[in-house]
Amino acid sequence: MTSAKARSPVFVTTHWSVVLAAAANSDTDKAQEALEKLCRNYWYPLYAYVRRRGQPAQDAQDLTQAFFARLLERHWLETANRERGRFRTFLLTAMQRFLCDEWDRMRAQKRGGGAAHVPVQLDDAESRYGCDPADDCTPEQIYERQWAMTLLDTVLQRLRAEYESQGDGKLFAELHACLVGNKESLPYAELAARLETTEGAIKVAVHRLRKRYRKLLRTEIAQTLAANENVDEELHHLFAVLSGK
Amino acid sequence: MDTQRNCPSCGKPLPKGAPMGLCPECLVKGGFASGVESETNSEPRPLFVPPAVEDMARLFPQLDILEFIGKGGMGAIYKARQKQLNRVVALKILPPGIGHEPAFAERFTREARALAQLNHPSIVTLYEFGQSDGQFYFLMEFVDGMNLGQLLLKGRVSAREALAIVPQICDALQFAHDQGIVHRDIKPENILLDRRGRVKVADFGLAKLAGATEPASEGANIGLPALTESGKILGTLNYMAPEQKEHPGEADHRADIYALGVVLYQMMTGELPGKPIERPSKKVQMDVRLDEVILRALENEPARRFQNVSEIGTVLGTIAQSSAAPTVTQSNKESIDTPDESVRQFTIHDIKFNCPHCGQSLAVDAAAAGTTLACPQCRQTVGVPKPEWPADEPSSGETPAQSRRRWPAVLAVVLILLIAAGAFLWRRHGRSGTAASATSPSARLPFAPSAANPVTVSTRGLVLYFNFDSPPVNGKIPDLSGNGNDGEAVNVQWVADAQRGGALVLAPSDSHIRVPNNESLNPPKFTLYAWIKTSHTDHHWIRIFDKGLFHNSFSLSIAGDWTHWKPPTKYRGYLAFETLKTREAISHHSLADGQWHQIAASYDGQDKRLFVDGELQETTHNRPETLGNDLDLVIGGFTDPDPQHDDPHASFDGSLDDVMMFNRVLSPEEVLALYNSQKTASDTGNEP
Repeated sequence: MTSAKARSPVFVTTHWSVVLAAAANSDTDKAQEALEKLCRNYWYPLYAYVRRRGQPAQDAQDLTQAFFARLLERHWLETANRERGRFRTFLLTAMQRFLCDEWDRMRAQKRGGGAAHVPVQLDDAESRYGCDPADDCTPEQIYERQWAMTLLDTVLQRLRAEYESQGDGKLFAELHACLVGNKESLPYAELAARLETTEGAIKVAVHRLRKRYRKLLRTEIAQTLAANENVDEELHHLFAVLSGK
Repeated sequence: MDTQRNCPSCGKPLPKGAPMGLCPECLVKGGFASGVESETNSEPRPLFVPPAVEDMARLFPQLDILEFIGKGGMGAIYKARQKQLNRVVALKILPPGIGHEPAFAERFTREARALAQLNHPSIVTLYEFGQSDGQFYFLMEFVDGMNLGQLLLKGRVSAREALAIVPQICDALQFAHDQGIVHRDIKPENILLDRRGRVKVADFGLAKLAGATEPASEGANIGLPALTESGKILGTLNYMAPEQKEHPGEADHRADIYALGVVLYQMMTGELPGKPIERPSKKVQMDVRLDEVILRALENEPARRFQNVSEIGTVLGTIAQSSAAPTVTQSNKESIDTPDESVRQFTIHDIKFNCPHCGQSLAVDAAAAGTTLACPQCRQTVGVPKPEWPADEPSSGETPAQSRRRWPAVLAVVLILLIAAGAFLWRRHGRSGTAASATSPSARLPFAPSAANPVTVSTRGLVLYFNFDSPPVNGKIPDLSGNGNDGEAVNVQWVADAQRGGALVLAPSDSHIRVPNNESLNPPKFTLYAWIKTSHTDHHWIRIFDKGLFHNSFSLSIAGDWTHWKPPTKYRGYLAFETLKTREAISHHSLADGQWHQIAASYDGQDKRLFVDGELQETTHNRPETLGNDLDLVIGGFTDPDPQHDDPHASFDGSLDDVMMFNRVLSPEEVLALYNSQKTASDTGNEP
């Protein structure tokens, strides 16, 4: 455990740094752009949360949209600075507060009227939400589960993009299923036959893929944490969330 | 849409939207540092040497490590102080050899979360858990006193002492068993006694955490190394039930009952039970009824033991009642003082009757009315009769109109917050030390049974009760916490009310009273209850919250629409009783300004229920939440200290009466019964 103080303030590009940069300089295009990108990545868990709280689809879309508009306002981000912690928690907390503080006002006024437009693509939200299992989990559980899935998906997409950029798209397509499961029991021979290479080469490729995946996953998670927080702890948390505890 | 598929690795169904069709759980596993590449590693564990205090200080910079307390099979324990809170805590670390595997950490988290739910006055509270530099640790309540093992080193304890101590253990165990948590290592060393003689059971579930086999669903490839690998047997053999020795995976809560039987045997005789077990009364002079309790707890066959640990508490309570009052005597005064207030008698013997088979006199909680139990004497099944309510007895000084039927004396035992002689506050015995009289028989409860309205509400679990019937000292409500929410004066008024006796009037904006530091206020299950008369329907909150440092707090709001809101500064999150009905729906159809209404909110660890005037408004499902340890009860509202979020809704504007809190969930029937028993007075009490 390292205290935040003891750690030198290395400025890495974390989700937090994006938020804080936006807060310090809300008119900087770059910061704003980064923040918007972040919002685009993680809008769905929040939408699912709002839906699960019983809001109808249209209201949930409006609220999510308005939330992101509000998020880009400077004083909110300053609050974020004060309450630094996990980005996952921050977003949810901010949404909860938003719903609590703003709902009445929102209903009185035109929702989101006059607020900055955030390019969050909400069109497929409802069809996606409809596909989620309708079990009895709480809004928070839905949020956290969707957060975890979104994060994993982000990492996998990035990994695929890396492979594709190196012309290894086919390799990724064949091997990505090997990211899960016990290394000893993967179908190396079968894959070798299909990719017309040796079993040894496949083992090496799988090893590299898994290693790279782990690196990207841990990096992505680290970006959602404050400096003194532990990636493994967050992984454990995500695991618990996905396994229903 | 796809048909449901299962993960080829872990076998669990793949959720819809699984990233690239892969199992998200397994994907997360792939991110662990030791990760998928080291699944098969299983290093032998070195002998555990507890780290020195200086090493611990480096590992836990947020703590002052004060001293090393001891080492056991489950790790080492240190006395420490949380620097920020200036709170003395016990820091327990697990042996470093366990927990290298991702599965262990996940299970550790799961177990610790379950343990964190165990908020009970007789269970050592878990404050925090985690991992520091690979070292799994727990931060727990520090109990200043001694353990039962140390007490037993001085020889046996008297029956009176045993009868004071063991029912508290039973309470604690029953509470845990109700939540599916088995201790698995009950022994005198795990039973702590503080300086007031209060029992605190320690190390819940640690035996399981450290040693039991993992359910097969976790996947066979991620084995959990148990302490047993080093040849150490978990749980202490002398106290271990036969089935726990033979099939550890199959032992259930009845293993704890066996272990408690051994502890009780040892307390009474000073020795462990031999083979065959000799009746304790043959060894020492003692109440033979205790023989029966001990021998039944020690049955080899779990099915022949008591089936619930609360039964032991009940029988011991009977024995204690029929002999003298169980107090710790002066003989072992070194660390144990006589409990000056026996506040925590959660088992209240409401119904007394005789066994129809053998004539044994029995006493059980009123909540058991209409159920059956096994007679501890003849073991026949006995039906528990419905209680016969005593005649109404207005206390002296009460006008008939003010009179609320009194609970029978045996019921009005202890847990009642009594507003006596103008004191508005009764503090649980202990830290603050200024206890008002707590056990007065004149404690008037609003539970008014009658033939027409058979109230079946028990006082069980009632930890706070403000009836506001008496005027406060000097006509002013004392600022109970020393200062208001933000240090400002508290703005509340007491008014006499011919029908209700008295009520509390709160002006909007930060008017409240506060009951500080009440240890009772950290239940995993509770019911918050009050009668309210609003001046502005929007403004009506009653909340229980902690000091705003780390934990959640609970709030009862009937405003609707409110939900998990996390205030920005001091008030770090609370769990509101939200309602999906709109505020208008409740306000217009159920609640009216200027009228007394009953509101109640219960939380059972998952579901929140909101009642208005005896009627269940709705049930909301929530994830488990835990209250903090240092809780204040705040009655009233406060202004959000952040001017950007100032909101008049977060305050209470109106009158309050009969504020109660139960450490249990009242059934809808009980809430309705309470409503019926109180509504006559309140209806006539409505002012224009």
